[in-house]
Amino acid sequence: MANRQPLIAVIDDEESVRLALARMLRASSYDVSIYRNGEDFLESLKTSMPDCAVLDFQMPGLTGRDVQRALTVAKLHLPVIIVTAHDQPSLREKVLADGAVAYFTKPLRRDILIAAVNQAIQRAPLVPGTSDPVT
Amino acid sequence: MRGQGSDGLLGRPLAGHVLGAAAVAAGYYATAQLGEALKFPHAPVSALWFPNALLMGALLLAPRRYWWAYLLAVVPAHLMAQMPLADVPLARILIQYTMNVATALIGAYALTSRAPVSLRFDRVLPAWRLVFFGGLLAPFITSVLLAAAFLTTNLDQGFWLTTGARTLTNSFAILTLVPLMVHAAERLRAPRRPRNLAHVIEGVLLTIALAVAGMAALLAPPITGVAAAAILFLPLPMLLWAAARFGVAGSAAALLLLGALTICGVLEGSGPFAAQANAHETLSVVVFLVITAVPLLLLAAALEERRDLESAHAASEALHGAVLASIQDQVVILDREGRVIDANDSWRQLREHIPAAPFVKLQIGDDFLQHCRETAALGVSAATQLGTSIGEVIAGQAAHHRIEFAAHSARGIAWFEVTIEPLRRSDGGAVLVWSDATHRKQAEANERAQQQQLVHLGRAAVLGELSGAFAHELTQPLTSILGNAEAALQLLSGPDVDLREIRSMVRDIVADDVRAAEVIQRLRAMLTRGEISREAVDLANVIKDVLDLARVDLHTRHVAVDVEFDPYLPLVLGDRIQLQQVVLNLVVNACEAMSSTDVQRRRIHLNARFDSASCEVVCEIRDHGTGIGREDLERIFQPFVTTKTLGLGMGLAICRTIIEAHGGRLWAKNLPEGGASFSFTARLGS
Repeated sequence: MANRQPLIAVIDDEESVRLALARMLRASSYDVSIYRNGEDFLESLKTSMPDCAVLDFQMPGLTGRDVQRALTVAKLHLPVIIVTAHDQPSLREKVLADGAVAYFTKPLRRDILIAAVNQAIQRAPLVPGTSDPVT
Repeated sequence: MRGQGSDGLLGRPLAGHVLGAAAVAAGYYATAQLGEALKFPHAPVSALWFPNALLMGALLLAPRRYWWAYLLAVVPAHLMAQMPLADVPLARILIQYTMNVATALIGAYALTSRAPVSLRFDRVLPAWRLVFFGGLLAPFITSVLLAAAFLTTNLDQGFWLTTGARTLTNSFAILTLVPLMVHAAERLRAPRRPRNLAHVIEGVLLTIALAVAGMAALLAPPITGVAAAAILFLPLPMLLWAAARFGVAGSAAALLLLGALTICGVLEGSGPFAAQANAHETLSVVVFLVITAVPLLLLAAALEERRDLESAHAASEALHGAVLASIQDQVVILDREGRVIDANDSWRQLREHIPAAPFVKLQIGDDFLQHCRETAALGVSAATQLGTSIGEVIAGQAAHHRIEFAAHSARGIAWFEVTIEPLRRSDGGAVLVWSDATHRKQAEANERAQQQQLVHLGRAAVLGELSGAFAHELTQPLTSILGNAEAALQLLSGPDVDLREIRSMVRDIVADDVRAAEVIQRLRAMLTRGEISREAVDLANVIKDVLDLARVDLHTRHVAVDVEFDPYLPLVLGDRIQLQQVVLNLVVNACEAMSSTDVQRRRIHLNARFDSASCEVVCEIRDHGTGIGREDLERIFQPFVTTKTLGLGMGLAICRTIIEAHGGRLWAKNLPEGGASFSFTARLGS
């Protein structure tokens, strides 16, 4: 039986961003499932468990942090990478303290994202930080 | 009115009037003595009887409330003058006193009843009143009563002789002495500028000439016939001279001199009246004096009134000229035909500064309106406007006009403001006042520029408050672009290139780039420092654009928006960007006002409707925030007043400035259900 590719969940309310992130991950041979909001993603966990979640922080309804807390409460131990268009230092500290593998501000480079995803999948602790700013 | 509380010409307290009454009593006694001395041999009365005139003059000069003092004072004077006369019964003395006092009272009362505060006889109407009431009516009534009393008491049987002689002698005395007394009192009360030497010399020469002519006519050996009548006219030129040059007072003095000479002639038995042998004919002397006095006094009054009017007119003209000359603005006065009838020095000087201005070459008598038409034909639009405005004001079709226009001057463009007012006189016309408005226009331009700068800064400030939202709006497409591009690169480096997938990625890159460009375009439009335009603007579109701009911010703040427009909302007149600025400012304020409101209640209602009553479009933004303190409802529109912890407090002040510049109003109120409402009006675009 062939090895299954790691499944990465991308949750973002912005369709174009959601699609672009999925393409980056697929180009690096990950399987990707995409969700438009946190509610749909949490609902999907009843049927499939991804290996990592790339979670937009600012979404209508449940925010990325709400989803992160829901995962913690459910003790699912799913590695979470938070991405956001609003860089807030205090937010970065909070989400990392709550167990997020990484916190990135948009736009983010593919190699940074892939490195974070890889480390998340290997459950290796990631040095707290963000991607280099895109110039 | 004199006699009704005023202090009269000789305003002084009671003690002063008691002294005055004593002086009048002394004068009464003296003139009575003089009268007795000058009594004609054949007549029952004196030819010059001044006591009654003296008392009348004193009453005229005193307040009515003190008249009693004068009337009492002359009682002893009258008794002292009459009692020594052995053949005068007491009844006659009492009747004479009563009628003398009545003469003075009737005359003084009649002359002060409708007289102005300043009683003067150098006007035609007061002079007529003096002649009729003082000189004729008062002496005639009392003389009739006196003669009747004498007849009744068998004191005298010559009723008509007594009546005529007393009336005429009193008349002459009143017509001469009363004006002199009033004139002297007037000079005491309000001293005029001293007469110049030439006038004094003229007065002396006139007196000498009158005395010589009078002596020649009235003191010469007795003459009869036509020669006697002709020689009576000898003093006439001097009397006319007095009337023409020395007024009523001078004429009265000249008449007194003439009267004195006439009486002297009769008493000396010389002159044309000396031949009279009986009492009736002796009265002709007094008739001559009265007939001479009446027209001479009226002539003097008419000449003096005319002289004063001319003097007042000349003074008015001088004042008018001085006022015109003092006005720095250029003043031009036009008649009803539009011809220049006057202009001040500033107008004349204007041509030196602005030779190119089309109107400054006009001179007195030129047709201004015709010049406007000719200039308008050359294509000068200001001339058309000016000519039309002047025509409307002259025709009464407009109360006034104010126009502005520019002209080339040596210092560059000069601005003029012209106000056109109707010339308020029966003949009509117009007054044009030109003022140099260059400095004001420059100041207005500077103010507009500063205001525009302030508005722009305010716009930048409110956009700055949305910077996070704009960053988010740009970040999203940039994230997509970067992701798609890097994914495409990755795919292209592999062995099996899926061109269809890559094409899809590139298409999305293009779409996201366009999206980012639109965000930048919207920001650029708001931040552009363009000229303020006035165009027909759809306020509904303005609101939609603002909500697009603020979409992310609203989303971030969890604020929902309800929008309601009239289905046929008319266009408004305004500057689209500035109206967007106002709506955006009010929306951002509404969001901030709800920062402590429950997320479920964070809702903004925007509506725009046509108000048929005011014929305006009204736009309202309501929130569910904490509302505004009652004392802040108006203050918040003042500069540097803010209820926020951050911010300069200029936003609402700028909004009000913008709305008022658009001819609208901006106000705030608290809502009964909580929260606040900001509304503004905008004029229709057509």
